[in-house]
Amino acid sequence: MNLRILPFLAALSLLSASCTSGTEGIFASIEREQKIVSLGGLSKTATITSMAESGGKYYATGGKALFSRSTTGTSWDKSTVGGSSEVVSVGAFGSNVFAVAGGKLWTSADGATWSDITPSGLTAYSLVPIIDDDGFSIPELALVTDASGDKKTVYHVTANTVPSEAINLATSVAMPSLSAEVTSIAKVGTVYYLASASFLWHVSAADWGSATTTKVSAAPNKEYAGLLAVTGTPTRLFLTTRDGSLYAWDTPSGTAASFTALRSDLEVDSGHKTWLHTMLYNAPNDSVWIATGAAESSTGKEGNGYVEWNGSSLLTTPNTTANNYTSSVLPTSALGTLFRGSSLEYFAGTVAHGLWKWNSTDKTWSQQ
Amino acid sequence: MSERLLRSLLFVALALGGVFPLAAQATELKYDHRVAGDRALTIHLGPIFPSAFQKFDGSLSSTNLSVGGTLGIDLDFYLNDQFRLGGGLRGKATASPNSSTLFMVPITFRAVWEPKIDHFSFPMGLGAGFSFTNFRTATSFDPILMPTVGAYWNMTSSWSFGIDASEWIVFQPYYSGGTIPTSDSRVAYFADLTLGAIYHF
Repeated sequence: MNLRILPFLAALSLLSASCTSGTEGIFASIEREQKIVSLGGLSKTATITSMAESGGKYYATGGKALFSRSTTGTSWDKSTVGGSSEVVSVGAFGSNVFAVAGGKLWTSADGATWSDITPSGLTAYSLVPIIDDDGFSIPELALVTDASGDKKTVYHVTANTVPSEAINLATSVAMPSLSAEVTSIAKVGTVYYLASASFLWHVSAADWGSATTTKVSAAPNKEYAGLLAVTGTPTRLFLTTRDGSLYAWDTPSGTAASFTALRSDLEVDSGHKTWLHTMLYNAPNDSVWIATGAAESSTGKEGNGYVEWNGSSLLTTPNTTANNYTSSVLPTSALGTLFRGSSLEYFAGTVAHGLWKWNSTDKTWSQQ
Repeated sequence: MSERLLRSLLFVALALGGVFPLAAQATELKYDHRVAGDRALTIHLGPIFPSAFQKFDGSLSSTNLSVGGTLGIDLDFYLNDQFRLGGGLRGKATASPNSSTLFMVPITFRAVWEPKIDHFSFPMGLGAGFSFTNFRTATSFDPILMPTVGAYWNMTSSWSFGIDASEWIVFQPYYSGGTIPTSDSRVAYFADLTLGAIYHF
């Protein structure tokens, strides 16, 4: 071999680009990787306000680290997201999990390596799952963004890329002093109903990205808490308000609401209001679980667990055949979230009293 | 008289016969293998330190990788007493935060300048080539530059022992239109410090 050719070969090699299999750069993925710490069980004083399921794993967070475990396992792992240990909320669909942490929106396919997909120039505030009338989260999420304390721009997240379609709640009507933050979204057919403290909103599929939103008229003139659509005869859209009332709108359609008052006593006792908005359809019981709020105390950690609406009456002691609900800490806990997994596993995330799982077979609760 | 002459001649012949081998041995001790056409086979072994990842806009970040190990073999051909060309094959392994291993196997063409002082050599060189990179299920084929410096003690004309320090500069550029976003383009820097043994033949 003529050795004089070696320098030319060396120079030629530098002209070539990298050839990499996969969808992300190797060095970039290592740079973004977050360490996962195995915990065993979650802390019994953990606060859980958001849950999701993706890729055979459950994810849970409450404003600090992100916890995860296999759907068939028992041991939880703990990790950060994008280097941040303040994970505000988590959501998922398909093989992608999403999280809001450090003011940014992140996505991951494995819960360890995260990519920043925050819309340019915006601060991510929270992720809101979109529940359809079958009671399941669908492959869509809403990202509430924050600009100078204004939470009026909501993005439609439908893929693991930077979301581009958004609505701006400020373009419709002048906002009152109540928060514009969207806290609950129900999808009925192709229409989205959004609840903030101040207004209910109607958004069609075509409205995303057009900045067009319409206020739902004739809704109760109260502070709104949560929305839940339940299919049936008829399909019902449930609404909770912060004064402890429960309403239902049969066969919801269009922008002119027709809510019927069902209950005004969701407050189990004075001081506990349903400002924590989560509702959940429980298929085994054919009932709606409604999370109650927290007392306005210095710790904010006490509440009244959840109540159950079985279609005709409200059960302040949830309907179970052999339950241990009343002997657990749940009745005196403020619930941050109620979550339904794909295997009919139900979870209640509490404020400072850990994460609980409901067994649909024997209807007992166990702490995670 | 003739007997004395014969004994003297025999003495001289034997004396000279003893001197010539010494002279030949002295010549052998001065002989240096490092001439054009000679070869050097180097074996390296030691730790490798991940330094930084750099985006193409210049910003640096931590690699997230642990200290790892590297071993390698180089084969060079001398063009003259101080300059050699050849190739090198290395391997290295480092671990990510969740204990996944980053494997890299660079193959480089190298040029080395080797000044000497007394029984010590100080090779300085530059290698360029490609690195096969593997991490979990992803593989990559990346351009690499590898400057290197060393210090060796020439124990004999056949064996030298010493240390080398090399910088691995690995390029992973991505272009629009591919499955990997251009924002994932990186330059990676690793530094190794190895013990080396050179066999000259």
